Amino acid sequence: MRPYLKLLITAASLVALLVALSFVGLNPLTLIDSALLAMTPLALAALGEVMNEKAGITNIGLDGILLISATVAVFGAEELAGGYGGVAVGAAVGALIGLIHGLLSTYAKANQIVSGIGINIFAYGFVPYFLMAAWGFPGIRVPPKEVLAPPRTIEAAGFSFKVSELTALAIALALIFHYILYRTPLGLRVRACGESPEALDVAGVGVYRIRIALSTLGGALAGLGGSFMSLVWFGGVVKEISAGRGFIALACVVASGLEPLLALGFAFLFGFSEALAYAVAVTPGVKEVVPYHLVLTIPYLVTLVVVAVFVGRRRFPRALGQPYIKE
Amino acid sequence: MAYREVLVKVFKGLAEALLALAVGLAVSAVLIAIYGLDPAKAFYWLFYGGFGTLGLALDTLAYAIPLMLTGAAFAVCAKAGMFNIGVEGQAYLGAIGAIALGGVLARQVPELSPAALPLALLGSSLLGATWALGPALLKVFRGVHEVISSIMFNWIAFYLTMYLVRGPLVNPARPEMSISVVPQARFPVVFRGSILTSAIYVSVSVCIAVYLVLRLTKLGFEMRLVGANPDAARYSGVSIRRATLAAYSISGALAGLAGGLIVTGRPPVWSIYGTLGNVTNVGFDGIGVALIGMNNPIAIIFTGVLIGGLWNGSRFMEPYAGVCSELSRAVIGLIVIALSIPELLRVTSRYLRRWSS
Repeated sequence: MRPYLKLLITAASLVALLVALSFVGLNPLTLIDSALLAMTPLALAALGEVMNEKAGITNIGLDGILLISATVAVFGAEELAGGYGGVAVGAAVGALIGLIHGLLSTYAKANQIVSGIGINIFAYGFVPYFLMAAWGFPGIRVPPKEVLAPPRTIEAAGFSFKVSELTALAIALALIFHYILYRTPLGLRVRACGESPEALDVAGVGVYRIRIALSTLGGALAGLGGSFMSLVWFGGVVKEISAGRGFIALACVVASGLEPLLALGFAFLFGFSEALAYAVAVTPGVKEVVPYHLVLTIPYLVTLVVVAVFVGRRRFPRALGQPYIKE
Repeated sequence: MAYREVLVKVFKGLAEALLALAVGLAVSAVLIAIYGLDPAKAFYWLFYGGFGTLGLALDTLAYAIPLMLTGAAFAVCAKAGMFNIGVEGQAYLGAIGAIALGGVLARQVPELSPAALPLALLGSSLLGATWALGPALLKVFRGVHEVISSIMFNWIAFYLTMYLVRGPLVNPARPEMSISVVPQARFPVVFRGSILTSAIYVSVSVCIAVYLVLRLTKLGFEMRLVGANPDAARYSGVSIRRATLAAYSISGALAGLAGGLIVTGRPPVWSIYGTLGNVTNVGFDGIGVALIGMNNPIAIIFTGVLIGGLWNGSRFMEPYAGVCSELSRAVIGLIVIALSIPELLRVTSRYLRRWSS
């Protein structure tokens, strides 16, 4: 239970921080609001990664998937009309990349880290190329408002919250994944796939099939996160839109020790630090003193500290990252 | 080792790299064709721009200078079984180190200016190595995977460098870039009219030195042992902690040196752009350089030139074939993905044989 305790302490200090901030003039509710938005892509990508790491596949190409899907989702929204059409396209592209990574990691026995690095480098080149090829303008695309899927505004307690369905989906998925992993035969198979693929193979269950399916799922969820960034959250895409979020999502996964609920908690924590950084960067009185570019390092510093504190003695699946070779 | 074996190894490596290059180009050709552009034209300009004339080939060598070093930096860690994805950030900090000692200090203490070049390079490798120690210490003492921590360090380095270049280190006369290094800290141009400087000698000899250290010294042997088989290393009394820290510091110093050589060894700016335009991606593409070169520092000299050629040539794709220059990076990514498959050559030839029969 110790990680939960630590997370509880973290949550308590967050509340204290919020109260303190309200004295400086920052509205804590605004912060929570933007923290939930910032949490969503991290949570979606992290939850997918938790599942495929449970089955033994590491995909460090999450950042690349976020980038590519964010860009292609905008294209999909403009061409297929409609924000959610675009979100679906983004998820499909993510699934495709996850599938390729899955195939490479199983049948081709690829080095998963190298394949992931390749996905990221590919994305850093593909996205600027795609932006230029599709819209003839370098580095950025702001689509017309009608094709976006902006978050809904909910009035509650005299305050208007901006909430997206995808945020709700992320929270629901954390619960569902937790249930599947620990309460169903399917979850047992997934975990066995990462712990002792030989046993699963002997029992007549296809290790490759499970791994490929979960890698595809992980890619699809990262794709969903990417589409969320461009179509729901920012309302457009720039060529650096992911800003390392794929790796922050990996940090959630590692710090959580592959527990979906904890991963969601960390995603909120990192989302909150991001929201805090932006809030600080625009707060009068603060923005004149602290240089803007240094404020932007806050989310990465928080990630480093949190991972260093939480990773400790976590146990990871025995066959994680290892290609399974049939006898 | 017999000559034959070495030759076979070199030939196999070469064939594998070429195969991966072919995969990268083939997939990119599809991407180009989807948008109604002409892949043949794009690739013609890509390779013409990289190697088409003597002048262009010299410029390609100039672009290869830092890429060889970031490649060697990644390779050192890879040999010790780690992935230093932080070469990117370490190179930014290296460029800052060169500006700090070869620009700021050399101007403030004029007596030092004759030694400005070695000072600048010392500053860049020291700062690069220091930046690399962060992920290394987190790995050694807290068990944090270096891939995650080094990307965080990359982004912190990115914003820190941007802050420094636009703030304390800004060039008052030209605010779009940082202070330049003093003229004594600039490598001379080798051929007039080209941007190739004698910095190329530094990066080539450093690559050779890295090869020798890995091959011939005790430390190099220990690092390779830790990478190849950590258990064997532990039982034979090798300190994994020491080897990890050593590999990471050497790697960081090399990456920092790469950043330093961009500032001191490539005309015309001798400084860092406010957009960081002349230092970005040198680390990530260096990973490609290392992987294509099978993490062999000697091979990396040549793959550095290959990727340098892609950088140089990609500038021609845009005006002449209408293909965005960044596509060259997508090609590098695809090559890396192809190379993630071990025994790519064997697998491919097996499938080819199966299909043909």
